Amino acid sequence: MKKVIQVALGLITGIGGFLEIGSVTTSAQAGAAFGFQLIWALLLGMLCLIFMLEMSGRFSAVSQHTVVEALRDRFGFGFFSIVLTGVAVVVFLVLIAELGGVALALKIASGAGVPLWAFPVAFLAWLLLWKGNLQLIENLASILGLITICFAVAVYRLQPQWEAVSSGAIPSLPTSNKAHYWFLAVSILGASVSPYLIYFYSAGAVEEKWDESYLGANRIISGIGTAFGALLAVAVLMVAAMVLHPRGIEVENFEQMAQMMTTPFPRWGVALFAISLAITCFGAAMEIALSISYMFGQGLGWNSSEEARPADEARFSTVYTVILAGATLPLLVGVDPIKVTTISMALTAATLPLAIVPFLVLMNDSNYLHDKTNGLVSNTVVVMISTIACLLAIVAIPLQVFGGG
Amino acid sequence: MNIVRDVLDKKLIDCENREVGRVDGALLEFANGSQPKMVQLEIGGEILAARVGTWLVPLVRWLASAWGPRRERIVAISWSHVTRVEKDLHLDIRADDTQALAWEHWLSEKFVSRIPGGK
Repeated sequence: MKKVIQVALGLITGIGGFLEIGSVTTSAQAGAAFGFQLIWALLLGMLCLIFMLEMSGRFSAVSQHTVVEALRDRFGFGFFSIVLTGVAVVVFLVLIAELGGVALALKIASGAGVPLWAFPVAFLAWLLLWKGNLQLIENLASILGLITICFAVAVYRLQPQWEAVSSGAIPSLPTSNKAHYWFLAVSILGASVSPYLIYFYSAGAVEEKWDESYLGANRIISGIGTAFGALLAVAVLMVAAMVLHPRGIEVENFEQMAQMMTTPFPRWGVALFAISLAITCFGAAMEIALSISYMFGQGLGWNSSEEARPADEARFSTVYTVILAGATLPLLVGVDPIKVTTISMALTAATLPLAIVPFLVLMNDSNYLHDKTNGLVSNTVVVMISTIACLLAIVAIPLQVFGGG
Repeated sequence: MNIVRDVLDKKLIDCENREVGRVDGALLEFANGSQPKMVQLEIGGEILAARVGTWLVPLVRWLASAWGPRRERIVAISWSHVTRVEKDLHLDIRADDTQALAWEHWLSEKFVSRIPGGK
């Protein structure tokens, strides 16, 4: 019974977990600028994330260690510190973007600007981490996150031409604006395949004491949960493609993005969009702050569990406190969350190999996984997609920044 | 036993199943005419810094003197306390009997416990 509940909750987490400021913004931008043409990028990102989450759950269930712990064990502190620093810096940028996303949503509701909301939002996230435990945080974020199903309802109401949609599932070259097209493809991949998700998922598996009997549950949670989440991101892209694209609206700010929901839901569209974004970004912000704490704690051998009281794990709780406080600073001085999102998603894609190569080495190490090491298919899929993401990033980021295409 | 593979960077677990820290360094003794002998395991930011680059050591040393708990610069745990070498190293002492948790206690006392709900 416990497993059934865990699987159910895991599925819901997947739905809410995929959608956050990165995937919503990049999907909306892609739909507005290129119609259905970039759906393939979301599907590719989804496929890669499914494989990586399955691996990280399997790793922890079999080895009883988190991925971060094993990275230090296996590669030593020197290399570990490079991976830790690289991933932490990029993920910190994503945290700024998520907190900004909640603040943007509240701005629509209240009229008060992002700088005013940044601190209360971060404080509430901190309070939940300080007083709550992992289960509470995951369940709260995932059950409230069900509201994002409104994007699927929006697609249903807009009655898309499914032929055009399915042709977007196959990569094709754009007729114009090539640099922007590839940059968006990279950002979508970066938004889908965040390394912190691997670390968070594996930390969760250890906190919930998974063993090899959870391998089946793991497959269902990582596979179906992620697929549901990704399909909701596809729904966001489709709504933008059907509402914004024909009118030639390019998404540059949050208000434009929210407009896309007013056609399927004339009265509630903007509110639904704002609430969806606020909840998913808030959940993601808590997960990221926790992930960074886990990364330091597990890597340096501190007691690090979200279950204990803060004073018993002072170093662990200090990290998320400082990180959350630090992430509000840029927002307080007026940095634009949408800009941070765009930059951090592209950077995530560019730095993917840094996180994924050592992860794959672990996944093929029988010292940890015995007879449950990776098969040929999972190795190939993850290597190929992360290589594509990284190469595209190296080409597309300079093109986007310096113009051209 | 392979020191780099089986000992270095492994997690140290005390006799009450609490985490002590990680093996940041290990000290070997080379006596004349005998096999090298493992003397102690070491924990400390300074050792970690040295493993990344020696240029970092003065910085860490300065930070530690300006801030944080007063403790030995390097926490040493005698090899004789190691009872089992598995994925983690198990010790027969309590973490609190060493100075490994000095930072934890210091932060807890000076910062975390003073925030409502911390305790």
